[in-house]
Amino acid sequence: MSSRNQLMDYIKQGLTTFFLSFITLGPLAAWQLQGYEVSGSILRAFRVSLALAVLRVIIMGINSRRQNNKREVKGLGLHSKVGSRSLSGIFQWENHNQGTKLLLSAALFVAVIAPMFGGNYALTVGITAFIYVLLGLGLNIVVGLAGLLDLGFVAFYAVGAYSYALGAEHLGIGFWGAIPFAAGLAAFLGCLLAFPVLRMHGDYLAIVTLGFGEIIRLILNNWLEFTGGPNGIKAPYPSLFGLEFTRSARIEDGTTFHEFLGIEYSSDYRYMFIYATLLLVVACTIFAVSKLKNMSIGRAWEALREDEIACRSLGINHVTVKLSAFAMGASIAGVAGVFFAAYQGFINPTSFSFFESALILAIVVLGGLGSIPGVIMAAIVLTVLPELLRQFAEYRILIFGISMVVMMIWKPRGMMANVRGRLKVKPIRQSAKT
Amino acid sequence: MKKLLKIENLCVSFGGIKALQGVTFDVEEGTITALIGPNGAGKTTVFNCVTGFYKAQSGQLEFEGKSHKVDISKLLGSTFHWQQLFSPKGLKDWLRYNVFGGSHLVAQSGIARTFQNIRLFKDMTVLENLLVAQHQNVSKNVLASLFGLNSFTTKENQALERGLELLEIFSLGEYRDRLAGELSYGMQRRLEIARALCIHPKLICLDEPAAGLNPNETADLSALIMKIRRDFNVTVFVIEHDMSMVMKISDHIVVLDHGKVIARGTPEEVKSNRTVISAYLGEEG
Amino acid sequence: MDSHILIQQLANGLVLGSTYGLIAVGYTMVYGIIGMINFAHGDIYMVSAYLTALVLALLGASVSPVVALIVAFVLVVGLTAVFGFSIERIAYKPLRKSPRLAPLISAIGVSLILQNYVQITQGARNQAVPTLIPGGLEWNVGGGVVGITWVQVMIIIVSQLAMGALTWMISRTALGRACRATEQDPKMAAILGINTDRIIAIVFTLGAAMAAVAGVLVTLNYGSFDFSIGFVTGIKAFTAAVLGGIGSLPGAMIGGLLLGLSESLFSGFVNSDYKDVFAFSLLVLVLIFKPSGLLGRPQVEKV
Repeated sequence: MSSRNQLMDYIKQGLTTFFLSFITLGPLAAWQLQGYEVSGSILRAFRVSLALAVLRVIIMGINSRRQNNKREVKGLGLHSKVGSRSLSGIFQWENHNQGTKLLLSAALFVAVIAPMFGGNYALTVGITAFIYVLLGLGLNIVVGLAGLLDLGFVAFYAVGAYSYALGAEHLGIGFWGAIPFAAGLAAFLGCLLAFPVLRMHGDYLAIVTLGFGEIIRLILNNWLEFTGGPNGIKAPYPSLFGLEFTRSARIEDGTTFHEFLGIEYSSDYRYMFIYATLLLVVACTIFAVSKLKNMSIGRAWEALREDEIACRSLGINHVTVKLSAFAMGASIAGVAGVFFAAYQGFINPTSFSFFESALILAIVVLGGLGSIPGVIMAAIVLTVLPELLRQFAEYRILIFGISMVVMMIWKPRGMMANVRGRLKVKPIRQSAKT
Repeated sequence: MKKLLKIENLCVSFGGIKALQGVTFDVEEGTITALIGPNGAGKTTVFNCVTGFYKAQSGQLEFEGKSHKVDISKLLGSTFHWQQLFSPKGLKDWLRYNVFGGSHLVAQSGIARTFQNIRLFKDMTVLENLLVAQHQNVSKNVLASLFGLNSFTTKENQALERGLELLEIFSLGEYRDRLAGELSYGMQRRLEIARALCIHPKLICLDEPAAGLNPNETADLSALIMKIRRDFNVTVFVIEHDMSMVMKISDHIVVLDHGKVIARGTPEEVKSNRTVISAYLGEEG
Repeated sequence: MDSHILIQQLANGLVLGSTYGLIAVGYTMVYGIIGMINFAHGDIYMVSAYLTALVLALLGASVSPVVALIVAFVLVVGLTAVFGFSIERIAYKPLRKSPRLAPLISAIGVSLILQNYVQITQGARNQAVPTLIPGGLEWNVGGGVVGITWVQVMIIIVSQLAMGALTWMISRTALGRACRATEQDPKMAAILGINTDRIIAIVFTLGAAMAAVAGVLVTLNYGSFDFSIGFVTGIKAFTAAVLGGIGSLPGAMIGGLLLGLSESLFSGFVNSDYKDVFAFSLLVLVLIFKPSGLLGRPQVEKV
């Protein structure tokens, strides 16, 4: 291809982008509605369109360079042949390569020592990040592994949060009781939702779950007597062995944490406690989910994502497999909800809007559908990055949206694609040498 | 010989089109039975009924299952009759089969199948494909697996060993960690058969296993089918267009045309049957 | 139950339902042709509402209301159609051969982009347009007054006309035939020389244009809107499409009218706080019990 043609192509694409964005995005950028009047000038539309056109040409340039450099690396030699024909031995699955293992341990190390240096603020950011890690891991089971696009995932998060707040108020359930209670209730609701949607595929399932999530939010919003409606509801602070993390004990004869240890009161202890518990829960969840992936149930989830009909022809009950995915994901979200409520001390329906579902979905998609380390990384990046880039806060959603589209086009498997387990057979050592 | 599968008066229609009009035949245990016929004769519809993917409007499908006799159409659930409200058992059955019923129960009773357009789990490795198929046999106890208890690992290892063994038999051993979707077409066909065998079936239904294979591969496949019948003690029920292969391997042939059985018998009988010849060559004969 | 309230609610429902029907067209045509839910469709409608307000404000009081209306119609429908076309080209076309979830996730991304873009450029507050055409019809019925504004009359008439024109186009013209062929079997249509990419782009453009028609009319009717209206309206329009049978054009209109009427009656006589819950529940129930809708073809599972 001649460079002249290429240049023409660049100009053509640049101009198309310019005109299209000028027509579509231009008017909204140029003028602002001020009551019944408008302000602004068309100059801003020019600037926005020009920027996009330049961006388009740059992307084209990068793409063509990449294509020139690409070498044929297809097929063959990806996996070395297995020398040993021995069928008995010690079987071991290798799920992650050395790099991800190192990364995970490093992340864990940072998570453990960070609170010692960061102080109160770092703790709160850490808690938010961990809550999203939990939510991401939960949705990852449903969307990433089982391939069921759930757009109402936030409903289970809400159920968890409200079951803690309302459970404490009406049933006297404490923080520790609320965790299994919320997990169970969310799992139950997950099954309840899953039953009718079992026969649906892809898009319909997405819309029904979306409707379900909105129904839950609207009920929380409108049922004033029970949930407090838009005004929300107070959630009690957590306790450890009956020790409260408040300035003074709420119950008579109660002891608070700082009185028990004879130290000065500080709200840091409460955050530290939530942080530590959450870290433990996250670690356990990561451990459990990565184990499940190599179990029959985890394999069945993935097989269901690949081909439901083939699954049925192999005697796999798609009903129970789907139910288990929904229930498992929902219960993790429920636990995340309890921590959210305990950390905030106050919840209202605005925390459980569709946007939240979309954010969790973005975490799973950007991290890599089905990939546990990917989801963890994405959750941390998507919660910590906005904190660092405070001045761009209003562009946050825009950036999420753009990265979702770009990711689907450029790397549909996410930043850290799901690594298939590879089987290692360690031959049993022969005792008698010949 | 014992009848493994009895099909009686099977009728299926889609909208107004009658796909099957009273199909009746048996598959005897230990045989290789072929179902042949022109395109659109209803062969795959028979398969889908036998394996529980379609529900027949009427007719009987009886299968000598692993443990007991199975009525295939019953496993798929039925429409509700108000009388069932008064019999607890009827109600229980209705609930059970309508909520939890379906083709997976047919597979569990001992019928495995492959598909005309290969249906592998393409993004999973070859070995994982075989492990998924052994879902029923491995331990599903979550706690046992989390803590690596013995009961879990033994079962898991048995499944792995069976998977590896099958891969050797189907000469796919060295590809076990490859993604199934990366394999060549012929290997994918073999893997699909291996996967079907993993569920320990009594009857294996192969839907056009030789489609898209070259003559050499077809010959290998014929040998393989004979081998699995012998070594795995399964009955083979096959749809195939390649007549030389059908004539070579099958003990019994059923010919279907326009949703009706027009001939049954040994390859020799079918070969010389006038109706069959006219169905295949047109009405002149 | 007062008869005038009933009649008033029915009239409101008819107006509401007509707009749902118009938006539902976009969902039903796109789903019919490439089998994906265009999640950003509701936000395209939202953008058209903003464009309407911009055009009207730019024209100001310098022109007569009728001229302003016509100019607004032409400009907004045109601009929004280009919007639909561009979105398809950027976010969906590269994903034609990807796994099923990819376009849907991309569409959710587009929806977020549109909402946030409008929020950044226009602010998060509620916006309003002046009343362009005042007045309407009033009747005395059973001791009360039933009223319907001229704009509402226009909504009912224009939406029926637009639907009629579209149905005629799909069923009678060569372009419509190409659309239907692509819907039936894209591969075969491509072999027969139909430029399926172009057809898909046209379908997106038409869908966006219909949403824009609804956007202009609803904006004139209600007078106020914000950047988040696309979400709820979008789901309701999708409900209408499903109710009527997805893939069917007359189905979209019938579904829209049914949903509008039942929602209006529900909020008038049962509980207006829970009218969205009612609509969403209807969606869930229809998808569970009759996913093929009123006029849709049932789908047979292919083995």
